[in-house]
Amino acid sequence: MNRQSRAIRWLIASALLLATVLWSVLPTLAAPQTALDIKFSGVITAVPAAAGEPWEIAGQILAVNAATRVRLTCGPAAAGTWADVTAQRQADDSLLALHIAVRPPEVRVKGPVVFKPEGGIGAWGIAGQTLWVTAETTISQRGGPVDVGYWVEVYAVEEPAGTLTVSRLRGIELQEDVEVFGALQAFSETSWRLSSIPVAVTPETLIAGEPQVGLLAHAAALLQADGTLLGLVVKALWQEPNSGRPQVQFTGTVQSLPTGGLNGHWQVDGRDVEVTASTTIGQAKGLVEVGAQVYVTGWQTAEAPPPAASPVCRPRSARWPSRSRCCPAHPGAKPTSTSRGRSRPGPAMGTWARGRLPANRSK
Amino acid sequence: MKTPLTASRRLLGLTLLVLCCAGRFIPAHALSLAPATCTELAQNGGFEAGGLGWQQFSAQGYELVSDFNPRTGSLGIYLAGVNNADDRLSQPIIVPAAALTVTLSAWWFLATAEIAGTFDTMTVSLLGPGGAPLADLLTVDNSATVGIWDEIVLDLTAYAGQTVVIQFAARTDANNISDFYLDDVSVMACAAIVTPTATATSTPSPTPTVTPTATATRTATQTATPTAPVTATPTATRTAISTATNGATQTVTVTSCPTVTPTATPHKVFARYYLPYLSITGGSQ
Repeated sequence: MNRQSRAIRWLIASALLLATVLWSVLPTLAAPQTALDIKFSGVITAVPAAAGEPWEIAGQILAVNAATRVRLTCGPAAAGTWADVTAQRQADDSLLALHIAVRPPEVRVKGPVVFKPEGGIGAWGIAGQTLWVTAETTISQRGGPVDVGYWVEVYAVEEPAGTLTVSRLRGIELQEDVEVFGALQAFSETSWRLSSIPVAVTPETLIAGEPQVGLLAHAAALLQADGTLLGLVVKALWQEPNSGRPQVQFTGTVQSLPTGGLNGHWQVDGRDVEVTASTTIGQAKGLVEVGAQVYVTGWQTAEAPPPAASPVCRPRSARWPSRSRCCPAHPGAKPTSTSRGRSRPGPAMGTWARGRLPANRSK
Repeated sequence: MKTPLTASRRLLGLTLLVLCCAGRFIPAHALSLAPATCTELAQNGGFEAGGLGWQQFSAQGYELVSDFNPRTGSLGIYLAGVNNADDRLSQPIIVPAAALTVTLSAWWFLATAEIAGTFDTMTVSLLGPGGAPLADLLTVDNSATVGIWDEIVLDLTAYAGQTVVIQFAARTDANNISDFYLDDVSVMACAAIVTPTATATSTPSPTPTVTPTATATRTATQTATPTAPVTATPTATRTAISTATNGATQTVTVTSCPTVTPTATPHKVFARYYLPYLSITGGSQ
């Protein structure tokens, strides 16, 4: 091959490379993803019948254009499936979808097994809910026993009648709170319903996000003696810049703590942080103390500090009314915390330490 | 010694790679890949034949092939799921010297009890035939989105002509268990020219065409990054597979629904944070 021929080959290849780069990058430049994007997760109400038509997710009409990307993670998109969306609000207040990740409509519940049928097939009582295990349900006991009195994580599908059919069930470590992840079907000042699971809401419940029917939502809740769930933290998965309560998350060093407990005002890297009785405090990796590094997530508000009457110390028995009945200590679990971290001898860093505290909750 | 011809071919390969990469940015239907020129190098990537072709190691003795949470079929891989886990799954791959692009892809799924920080990980690595580490290609961790299958796509073109071992290794710390599930592993070597088959009209289709990913069928949307051989950092990018709705045959009437009306209030004067979650990430300084 002569030199001229090689040069021509190089020239063609280089031109092709350059054109390809420009071709691939230009659409991205046209619709860059920015920090101002709206992010939310919700139930797909309608998929477009033809190219160019909008999607409808969580009640939102989402326009699409050539830059919109749809990702099917596990199966096709259809009404009733769920999606994680990144979108931009347009000048006319409409939404333009940048990314739509379609996911199966899988309800998740973490909680203790209260009862189960002989042989395992049939109705199980988990976290105060009735869930149906079938012959197709897969079960893993790697993370812990799947049996009455132990904690499990359930992946379930909500049937049209509102029943929950379990697709997977796995044993997990003892948790402090029951957790529910599902579609927000109704909400009021006293209750949220997530994929047919009711969660009571009180003035002490921390409410994050902008609730809207059709959004996906997460709840951390207390299982009460009557089997109902009392919401500690409920969060609708809608995140929009400049919203009324912008979400905040940061890592910082604890500079000061309230006296007489952990509820109250903290200073973390110069920021005022308000901790209430509903705040989840994870101390599995170390104890709360001045100088400790903490990861904080919450939201910013201009409101005055919460009234003193709101969070109150709840005696352990009141916060865990059902523990003795349905949730004995997980075998192998190390002793749980019994008081707020600063004053008690705690486990070494990295050891298993998970316990509910009288005035607050510790993870 | 690298001849000009080889270098030219590499450049062509790079072009091809970028074309593949472009799948992140352009609709999938704009690319077509001659399937006959691509070869699947991974054996039993869907794990439907159990552990055939794979080497498993679990420090705590767990069977890594599991029917608990496969993405497709009835079997997949279940890594970790316990505290202090050290699980590894590997398979040797002979990468053809003639390959213009070699792409490793796999789907993974996270479940975790961690609420902050990064303590539990799954690393995709390349080892030499004798087990010596060649490169860590990608590490995912417990901070990723839980409960959703996501695709890992890595470019292995730089390893053409070599025998390498691909390894998936999961490790967890002493508390707050994480599970890493894996399925539909593919190592695709292609020696074809990717031909852009531009849409017939000049009007871009606002909605990409369908590429259902529920099956193990691969789409031509691999993300790839030119890599430095052996030295390490083949980067990986989560793919945004350019697929689209399967609603082409559906008739859907879009009705007006209640809309969220977020309040667009300005940031407040006082920075005060209410905390649904707070996690200790380290000890005292």
